[in-house]
Amino acid sequence: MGITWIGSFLRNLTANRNLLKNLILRDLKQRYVGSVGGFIWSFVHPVVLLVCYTFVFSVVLRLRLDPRVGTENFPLYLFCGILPWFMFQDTVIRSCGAITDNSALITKTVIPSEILPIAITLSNLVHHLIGLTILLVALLLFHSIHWSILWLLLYLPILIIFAQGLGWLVSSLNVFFRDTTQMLNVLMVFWFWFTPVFYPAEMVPDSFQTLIAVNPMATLVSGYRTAFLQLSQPGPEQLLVLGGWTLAAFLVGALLFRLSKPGFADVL
Amino acid sequence: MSLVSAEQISKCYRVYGSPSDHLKELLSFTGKTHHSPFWAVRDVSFELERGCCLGIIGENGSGKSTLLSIIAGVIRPTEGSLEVNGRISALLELGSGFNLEFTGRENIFLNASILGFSDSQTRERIPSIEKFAEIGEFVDLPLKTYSTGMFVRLAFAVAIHLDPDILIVDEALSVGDIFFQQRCIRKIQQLKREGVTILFVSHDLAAVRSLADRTIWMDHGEARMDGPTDDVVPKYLAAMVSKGSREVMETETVGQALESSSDLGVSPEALNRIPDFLSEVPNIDHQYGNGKAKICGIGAFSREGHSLASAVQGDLVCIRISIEFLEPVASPNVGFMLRNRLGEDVTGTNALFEGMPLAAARAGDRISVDFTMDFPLLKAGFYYFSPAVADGSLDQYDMCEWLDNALALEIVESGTTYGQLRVPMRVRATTVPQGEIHHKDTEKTFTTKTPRHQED
Repeated sequence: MGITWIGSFLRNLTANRNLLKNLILRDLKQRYVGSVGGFIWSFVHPVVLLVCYTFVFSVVLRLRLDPRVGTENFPLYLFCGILPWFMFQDTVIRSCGAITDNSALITKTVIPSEILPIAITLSNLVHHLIGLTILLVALLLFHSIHWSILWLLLYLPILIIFAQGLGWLVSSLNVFFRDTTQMLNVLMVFWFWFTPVFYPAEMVPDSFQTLIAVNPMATLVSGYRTAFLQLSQPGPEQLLVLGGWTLAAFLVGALLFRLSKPGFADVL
Repeated sequence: MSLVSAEQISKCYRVYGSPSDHLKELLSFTGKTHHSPFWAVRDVSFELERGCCLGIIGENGSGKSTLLSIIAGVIRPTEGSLEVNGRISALLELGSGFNLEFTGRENIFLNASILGFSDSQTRERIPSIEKFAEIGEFVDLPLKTYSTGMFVRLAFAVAIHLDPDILIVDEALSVGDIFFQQRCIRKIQQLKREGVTILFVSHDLAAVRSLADRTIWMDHGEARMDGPTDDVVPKYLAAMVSKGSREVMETETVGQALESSSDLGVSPEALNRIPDFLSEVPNIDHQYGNGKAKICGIGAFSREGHSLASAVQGDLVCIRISIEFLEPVASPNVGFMLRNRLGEDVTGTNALFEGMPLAAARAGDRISVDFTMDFPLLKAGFYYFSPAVADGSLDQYDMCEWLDNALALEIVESGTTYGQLRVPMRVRATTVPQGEIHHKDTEKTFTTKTPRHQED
């Protein structure tokens, strides 16, 4: 059963690649529709963020990172963490409305609805790649680029798959359960502050280290820092936990979406 | 091979106490139910061949749209099997899937890609879509700047230009201006000739008659009748008319007829069936007047005294208007204006104009005035009566009450009507042999020596 599902899903995806492309374009344009600057804004945001971090943390607060961390450049350290987090948070939160916001498409046209959350993930990926480009420029200017960047080939796909799984999960849940959006927003605040983005994982007291170890986003964030800043690699247990979470999120999300999909048009 | 083959399809809507009950049930492995059933469509079977046009008629809530949505593949039937062989283009709701922030062109591409078109295939079709939609340079402006008409035209244009094998149209023809409706109907006829199978739902029985080869009459989710359009539509109309008559309010008071009705074409027995005083106004769009008299009811009745919701061109139609005077009115006059669905005045009259001055009324008096006519051969569609009661002469009067579009009457064509109305006509044609035309010196007339003429 699972194999045929995957087969039909992939066939569907290739058959609808033009739809997917148009949905992604629509999503990208939608953010900047009516604005004169258009796509330039997606470059402006991360640059401004980077400049502000530098001002606040390095100039005003003169924050010194714990020597255990392995780098002294706090803005870059922060930027490496915040990029994967934003990719994740944006994808999951926006996926929540992927089905409900497109109820006209679901109830009045024959659209393979699993594509809608995929389009959101991929459109966020475009923004993520823009952010990564700016990070690379900043690294060239203030740091250096090392072969360790190849680790990204491991962490980026995991990030995408994890976010996609949760995206499917919340988008189908939200059809039946409109509280999902609110619950998710609350959850995301917790999740963000319990993920070492603004602080190094090394500073977390020992009694809370388990919390970091089982948090897939914590592993992904430190994975990104390995890739860009050559910081210490997450341990094998952490990687295993991350793999487990990712697989579970993807399978549960896909299964729930698949099972609840026939009911979408009836409820919307 | 039939293009669409539906076998006993049923759709049961589960009425849930809350949406989370629905999720519980979808994920339940024990098969426990959390709903009460509502059958929107029950045991409908039919087959459709290439180039066939199926009309679906029925009252609101009879399951027409649900049936179309099932065939379009948007919702799944609860029971029964459905086989569709071909590309479906469905206009279930005009412009669904259109995004108001985006330009017409961008929306065309997105809509086409939902149907599996590549961008280059879509690009080839853009000129003809633009041409049909007649939106000009608006195609590159966001949809939010469009008028309703432009929106409708674009949606329809996109749906028909995506090479459908099966075109599904739900009520879309009743929107948009009259000219566009006609173009849509012509286009549908052309598509039909080209072998496209068409399914459409409409309340516009004239459109059903002119397009559908076959019609299904849906009644409470079931196919009450399925057959050639010319058999089904009259039965449906008859059922609607008899239903309408049951809804007429009962008589409140019995008064004396002001004038003998014997020569009005409505028999006394038929008149007995009509309540003497109507106390229901089906609709009021707008109302004005000094309030000295009140229009309590208006109704349309057939020769047999049945209440009419629709009539065939040329049928005898009796319009009864019931008035209650709240204050004394010295020279009352009652009349109506007949308008078409575009709100244009078609004709109007009143008792005084027809040579029937009404007696002075005291406060509390009630009268009913009947206007009986052979309904003009107006083109099919809805027509609206706006009744009025006034005090004064034809030239100088005070309006006591005027109700806009109080009563609707659907007119069905008894024969094809070109333009706004059909006029009974006698035709004579004369064959004129060559060279035998000669002008008289001063008069511009001509004669023929051996006229052979046909007369109609």
